[in-house]
Amino acid sequence: MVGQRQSRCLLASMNVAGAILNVDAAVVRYGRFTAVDHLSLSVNARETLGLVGESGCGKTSLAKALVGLLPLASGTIRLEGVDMQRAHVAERSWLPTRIQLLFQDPGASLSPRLNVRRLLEEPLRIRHKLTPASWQEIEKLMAELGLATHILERYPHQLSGGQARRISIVRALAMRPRIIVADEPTAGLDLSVQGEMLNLLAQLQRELGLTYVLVSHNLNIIGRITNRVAVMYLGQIVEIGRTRQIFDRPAHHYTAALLAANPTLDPRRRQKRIVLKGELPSPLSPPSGCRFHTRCPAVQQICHVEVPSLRPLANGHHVACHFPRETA
Amino acid sequence: MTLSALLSIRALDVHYATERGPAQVLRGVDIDIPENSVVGIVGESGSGKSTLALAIMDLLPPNATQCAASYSFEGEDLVAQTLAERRRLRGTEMAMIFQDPMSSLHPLHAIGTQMVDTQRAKYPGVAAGELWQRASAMLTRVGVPDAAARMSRYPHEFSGGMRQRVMIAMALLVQPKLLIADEPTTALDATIEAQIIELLSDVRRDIRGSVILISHSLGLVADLCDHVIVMYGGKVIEVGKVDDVFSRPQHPYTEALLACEISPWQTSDPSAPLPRIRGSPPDPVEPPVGCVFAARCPQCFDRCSLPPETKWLDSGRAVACWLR
Amino acid sequence: MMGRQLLFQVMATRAGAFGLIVVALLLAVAIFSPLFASYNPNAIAPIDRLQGPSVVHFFGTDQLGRDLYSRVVYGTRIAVGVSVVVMSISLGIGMLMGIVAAYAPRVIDQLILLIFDIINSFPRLILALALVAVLGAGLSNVILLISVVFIPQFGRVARAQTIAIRNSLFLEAEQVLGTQPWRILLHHLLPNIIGPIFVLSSMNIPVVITIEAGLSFLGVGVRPPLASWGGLLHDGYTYLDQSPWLAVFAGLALIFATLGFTLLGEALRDAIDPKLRQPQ
Repeated sequence: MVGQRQSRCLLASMNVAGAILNVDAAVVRYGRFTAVDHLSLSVNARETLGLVGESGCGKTSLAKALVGLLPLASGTIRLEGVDMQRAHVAERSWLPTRIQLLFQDPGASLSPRLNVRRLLEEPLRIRHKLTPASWQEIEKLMAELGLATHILERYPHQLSGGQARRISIVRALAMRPRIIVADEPTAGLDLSVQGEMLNLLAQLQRELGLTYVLVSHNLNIIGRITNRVAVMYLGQIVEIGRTRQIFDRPAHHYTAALLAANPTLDPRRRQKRIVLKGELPSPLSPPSGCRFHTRCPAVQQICHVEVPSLRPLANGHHVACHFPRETA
Repeated sequence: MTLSALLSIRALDVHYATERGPAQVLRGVDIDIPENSVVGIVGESGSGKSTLALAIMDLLPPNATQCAASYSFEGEDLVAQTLAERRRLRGTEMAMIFQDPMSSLHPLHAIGTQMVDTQRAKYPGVAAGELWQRASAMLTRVGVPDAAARMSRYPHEFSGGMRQRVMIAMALLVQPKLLIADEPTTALDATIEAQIIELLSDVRRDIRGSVILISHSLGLVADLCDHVIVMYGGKVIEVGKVDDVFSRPQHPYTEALLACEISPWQTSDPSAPLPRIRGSPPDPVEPPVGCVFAARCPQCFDRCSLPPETKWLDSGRAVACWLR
Repeated sequence: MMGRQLLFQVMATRAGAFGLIVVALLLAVAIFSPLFASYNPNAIAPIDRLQGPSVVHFFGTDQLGRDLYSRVVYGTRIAVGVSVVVMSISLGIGMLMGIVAAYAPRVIDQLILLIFDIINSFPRLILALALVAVLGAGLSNVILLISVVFIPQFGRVARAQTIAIRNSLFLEAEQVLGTQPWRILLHHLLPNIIGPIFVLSSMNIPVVITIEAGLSFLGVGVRPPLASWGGLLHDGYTYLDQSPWLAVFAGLALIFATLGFTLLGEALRDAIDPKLRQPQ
């Protein structure tokens, strides 16, 4: 299968020793619908990898598969060298202590009938470590995140969005993970407080040596705080590499359009908008050949027919395009 | 302050009845919308920007009370009019498009039917057939492919971007003097947003009136608007030409907000902490007595315990701050 | 604590407060019947038969001279006792089946729903009668067969509630956190589906009381000399022309109990709904 070939090439060139997470030709399906299609990537320890893409690109499904919420139809995900598929079933207790997920809607991710105290005790109970000492650690984390102790008696529906977010961060950290997948960590936050949340995440990363996979559609944030970024379209990675490189000189036409579409304040940076024609194809019936060919400004005959594989450019920059843009 | 303002409101107050008492969502708001311009209204949660739009359109919910010292549209004083007279303007001279087009479209009527219906208030004598033709032509104008066939389709058969185009078409069909767009692209994907932004820039010329664009995205406003009104805590705190305000902000809040805008091409130290504004917006049930931003302002001084008067700088530029 | 909050919510309305007081009273009478009763309910004194209310016999006496008031008091035990036990059994089995149906593969789900439908297709009293005909009368049989009658109700509600939240974000969050499945079931699933079930049970108690009374009225419920309100009504009906008081007081007891439990049930339903919170 072309998809498999594509991902093997990638794997050969990308499987860096030092990668804490290795995804190899992962396929996530919902019935007959393929959300993630033979996707491969690796995440290095202590880095922040961004996942960008629009609706239907599969980034949320990939994020869920990374934390074991969704099974893979085929392919493997290796966490610190261990195949997660087997971990998902038998070694359930191991996975949550390695990787955690911060949900996009933190309020809805908290069990509505438990108060904050019970919610924060829970990770300790799971680890069988509900002791005064471990609870003190939780309280320290709370203080560090700016949560006052009087909210311990509150219920999720009585919390503000920001408070709910911080509580879910404390819960995730209480499991002592090495990797955190953050799904739209600033969704719903005003501009004036976004910085606070991101600073917090950065601080935690420094102090605890965390690795982040940041799923977001907000290119400003991705551009500023990620080390590497993977651009997804209809279940596949179309471009991946160092953020700086991709933002300055995107190789894929989709990436270029996404970046150009991002409204920016600086009039000097306001690039000519690349307006793509057509709608986002339905993920239920993706186009043949290169999935982006229906909207690509540089489409040629071959694009209708042949699926482009992720080819390396330079410096870990890979792009899946028959006619990538100039990046020299 | 221009003399030929399309819309001019003075001392607008809106409060909602809540469990805890009246929530002052808008306090003493003055705005002028010049003719033939695109005015952006920016603000964060609690600024009152959406409420302002609804107040202009007389679309506030029943638990809201609205009163203004003066409200004139095209020179006509609306405060003196009855509710019925004011509502005459809705759908004929003033039109609005919302963030979520799905909730603005009737799920059980075909698009064509809805587009014909919206025109009836403005063109009462015209035959339905002609209204249908006009609607079909407008759909093509806004970039809906195969418009004639699509007219018989239902809203759920359209994608988000297409529905928003339908909304824009419906608004344009009545040839309003004022078009209010409340977060029109917030719910759309980035590449679709780009399409809609391009469409809006394109049809702007078709609108022989003004557009009010409400958004939390400074970049969007910078891109599409001529003028900008900055709101905070239910008050207007700065007004002016958009390039002017964004490059030389006069109000500390505007300045701080602009600093918070993250640029993906930041060349300065990436490990430096991102700027933010400490504190949170004021509680509308207990609004502050003095300057609405005083509690979070880095340059607050003793005079700020009194509400600042609006200072007019050069033409069109105004700021409500004791520092100026 | 949630309990105290709930209590407050219920007491906040007059109907709720009334229901709560009535139910509390009934429970007290049921548990402490010997303290409330003035006579042995089974003490026969034919000389005193069919008397009206008096200082000695508050409600009068029945056809065998037994103190009616004491019989009503002990009847409370039967009414409340049977209904509580029946509700517990139905609730337990029904909820279990409902949750299983919500998570099981389609075949098992359909099978469970089929069982529910079969039970439901019989009118309740008729089904109870039919089962009595097969199993015979008596207290324990009555309890068992009325329980069967109510299983589908609880089962369907539990299934619907579980389906509504099984894809909830917070359940996913618990999975990601690594919460063990039993813990998810007990602490996260159950508390969020129990609300309507709890209310359903308190609103069904009057129905159970009525069915039990009905069966006893027809003579196929609890065996004499156990004092059931239904049995008292039966006697009252037989001796109506000689003394109306039997029927009156038995009937009043039934009405009182039914009203109290219904009002409490409704108040609980409102109390559990966070959107209907009364201001504190």
